Amino acid sequence: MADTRPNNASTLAANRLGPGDYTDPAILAAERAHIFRRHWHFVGLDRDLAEPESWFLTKVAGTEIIIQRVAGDGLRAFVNVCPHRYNALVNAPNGRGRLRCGYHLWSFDDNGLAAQVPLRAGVALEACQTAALSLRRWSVERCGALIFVAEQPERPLAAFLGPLGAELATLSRGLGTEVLRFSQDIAANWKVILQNTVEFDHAFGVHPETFAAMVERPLHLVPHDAVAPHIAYHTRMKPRDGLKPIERRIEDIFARSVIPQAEGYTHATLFPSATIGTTANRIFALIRYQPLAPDRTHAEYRLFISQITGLTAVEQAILDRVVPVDVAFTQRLLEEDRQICESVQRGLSNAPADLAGILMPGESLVGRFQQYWLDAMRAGALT
Amino acid sequence: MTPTEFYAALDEMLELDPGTITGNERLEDVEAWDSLAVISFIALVDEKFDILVETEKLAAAESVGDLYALATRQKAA
Ligand code: FES
Ligand SMILES: [Fe+2]
Repeated sequence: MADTRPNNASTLAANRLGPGDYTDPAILAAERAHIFRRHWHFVGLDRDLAEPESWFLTKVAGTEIIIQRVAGDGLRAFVNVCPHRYNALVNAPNGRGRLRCGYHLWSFDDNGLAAQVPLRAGVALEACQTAALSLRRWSVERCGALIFVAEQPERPLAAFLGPLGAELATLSRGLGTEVLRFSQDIAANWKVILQNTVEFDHAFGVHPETFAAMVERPLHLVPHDAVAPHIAYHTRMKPRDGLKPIERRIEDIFARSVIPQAEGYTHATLFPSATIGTTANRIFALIRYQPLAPDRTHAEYRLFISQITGLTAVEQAILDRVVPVDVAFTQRLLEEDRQICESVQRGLSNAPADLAGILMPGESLVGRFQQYWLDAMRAGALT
Repeated sequence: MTPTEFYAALDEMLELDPGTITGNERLEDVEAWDSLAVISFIALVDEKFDILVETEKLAAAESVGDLYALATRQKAA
């Protein structure tokens, strides 16, 4: 296959991470301290907190966090532990109302301060309203309709997302129906999974009938610059000649998406724990990844379609038939990626420490990811 | 729309030679009747009969005759 990639130097590049970086528990512990605690993590959408005082429980960097909507559209992120004697404050995946511990019934206000403490036997309430006896808070911010949290962020969310922020805000506000939501554990290191999202040389080996059938050859992967430590790019799709009238009609319907039309497959890997991708603005996949072990990662998938303006009844009926096909296609792609990531992890567990690997020209964004990882580990270790 | 006109419209929609559909076909024997054809049929009935095909009834249709019944009888409903 002739390679005419315009954006990559045609040279081999060093693979900066070795097998141990994907298998060593000490590396994961360092990543939790140096990367996961200091970076922002996508956790959910505004629509997940539609009701006042509603909350949902999520897990970030190994810690359970309660995300709650408080008065005036504000958000709070509380660590899921009661400051009295360590009971997990909530157990359900979501709920509504003031947070109250089920063990000795302390309840907490919007700022995490004890609001009611029964069985005080003469002890003043104020004695329990100290910082030490308050719920532990994390930072929580919105980008458009997306909610992010961080334990000790190095900078505000807007600065962290940089030029991607505006794009993500527009995209998130235009999301329509959520068409599929599921989660699973993947038997692979989180970096194996993310690196797999930033190169498509694997399309021909891993997705021969799905992705590879759609993209132009040679594959043009066009990186978006100045989004470090994140990675964003789009690919071009094959020109779709000879469309049947109904296919053209379906494309016309999707062309009225509220989310601005993007070309081909458009992708953002938000360092270190989320990806957002869309194929020709049809299915939007928001995925978050949290490491459970060096060789195990929890993945939560949410698939959406865009809001589409002025849908008639017949167009809705058409979409009702088209969207499940698109969803099934996306699921198949995701499953193909899961399998290859697990296979790579098995390979890593067999790899001698001196097996260095190499990055081909089409894998330059993998190199970029590795550089960001090295930078973040170094910066975290220094502080 | 007469049955003959309806069959002609189906021929055109399925990109078949004129006169291919005669009204006696079972859908499973019509090779061109795939998921895209089902969607095209929804659009066709909307355009020609100004009615929205009921999805459950469409899923249950077994023959070209069933399709004609769907496209015409539903009009009264
Ligand atoms: S542990 Fe929560 S009130 Fe006692
Ligand atoms: Fe893939």
